[in-house]
Amino acid sequence: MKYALISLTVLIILSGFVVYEKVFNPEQREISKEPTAFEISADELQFHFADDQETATHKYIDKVIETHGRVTEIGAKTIVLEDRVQVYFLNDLKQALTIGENVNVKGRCVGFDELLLAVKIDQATTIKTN
Amino acid sequence: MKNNRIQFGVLLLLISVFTAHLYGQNKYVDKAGYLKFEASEKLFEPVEAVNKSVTAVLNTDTGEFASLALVVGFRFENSLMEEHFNENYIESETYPKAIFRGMLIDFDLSSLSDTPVEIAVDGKLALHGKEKEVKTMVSLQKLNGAIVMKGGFTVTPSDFAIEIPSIVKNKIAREVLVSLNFNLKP
Repeated sequence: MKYALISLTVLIILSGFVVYEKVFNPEQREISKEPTAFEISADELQFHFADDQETATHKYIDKVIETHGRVTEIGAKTIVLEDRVQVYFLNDLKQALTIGENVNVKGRCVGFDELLLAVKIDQATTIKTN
Repeated sequence: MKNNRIQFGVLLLLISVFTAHLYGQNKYVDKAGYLKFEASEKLFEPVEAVNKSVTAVLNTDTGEFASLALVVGFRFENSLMEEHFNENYIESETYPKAIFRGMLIDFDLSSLSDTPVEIAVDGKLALHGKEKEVKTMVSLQKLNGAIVMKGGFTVTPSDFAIEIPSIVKNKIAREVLVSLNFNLKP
C-alpha cells in the first residue's frame, strides 16, 4: 500500500514535468522542416515591401518563405539575392556559391530593413542551384 | 533659348556636384551585426535574446551612425518566451523594427588603430512606436581594415511603453542591458 502510494506520487510528479516541458518549453522551430508558406522571387518579395511595408510585414513576417534570385554578394553566413534580399544561414555555407549564380533558399522572413532597403530572411537552410 | 541652355547647364552641374558629394561619402557597413539584450533576474530563468542580423552603418566623414534590428530576429533560448516577446510585449507585427540614429562624438577615422579607444555616442532609439534618447560610450578599433565597435547601454521597458504584466514582473529585470558588437567594413 505504502509502495503504491509512493509510486503514484512519483508518477504524478513525472507526468507533471513532462506536461511542463511540453507546454512551457516547446521545441525551437525548425524552419527547414516546416511547410513553405510563400514561394516568391527575390525581386517580387522586395517590391512588395518597398511598395507597402505595412501590408507586406503583416503578410510575410515570421513566415516560411522560399525565394530565388541571382547571388549578388557572399558573406561568411550570408548572401544577398538581386541586391534586394539579405539571407542569413543557420550554419556556414556548405555549397560553394559564385556571384551571379541563381539559387533557391528557404528561410523565415524577418522584415524590411530600410537602411539597406532589403528584405531579410534568417534561419535559411536549403540552397538548390537552379 | 540660350538662357534655358545655361539654366540647364547649371542644373546639370548642380546635380553632378550633389551626386559626387553623395558618392564621396564613405560608409562602413555591417549587415550581420550582433545585438543582445538581457533582463534576467536572479533565481529565475534567464531573460535574454540575441540578434545576429542587425544592420549598422557609419558615415566616416561625419560620424553619423545608424543601426537597425528587426525585432523578430531576436532569438531566445526558450521559444515560448520568444513568442510572448513578439506577441505580447514588443508587438513585432505592428512595430517590426528597432532603429537607432545618432552621432559618434568627435569621430576621426584617421586616429583609429588596433588599440581600442572609447568614444561617446549620442542618439535616439526608436521602437514599439516610441523614441528615447540614448547616450553611451562605445569602444572603437581598426582591425584588418574594418572598424570594430563594441559597447552597451541600458533602457527600461517603460521607456517604450512596453507593459510587463504583474504576474511576471518579478521575473524580468526593470533595466534591460543591451550590448552590441559590430564589424563595420568599407
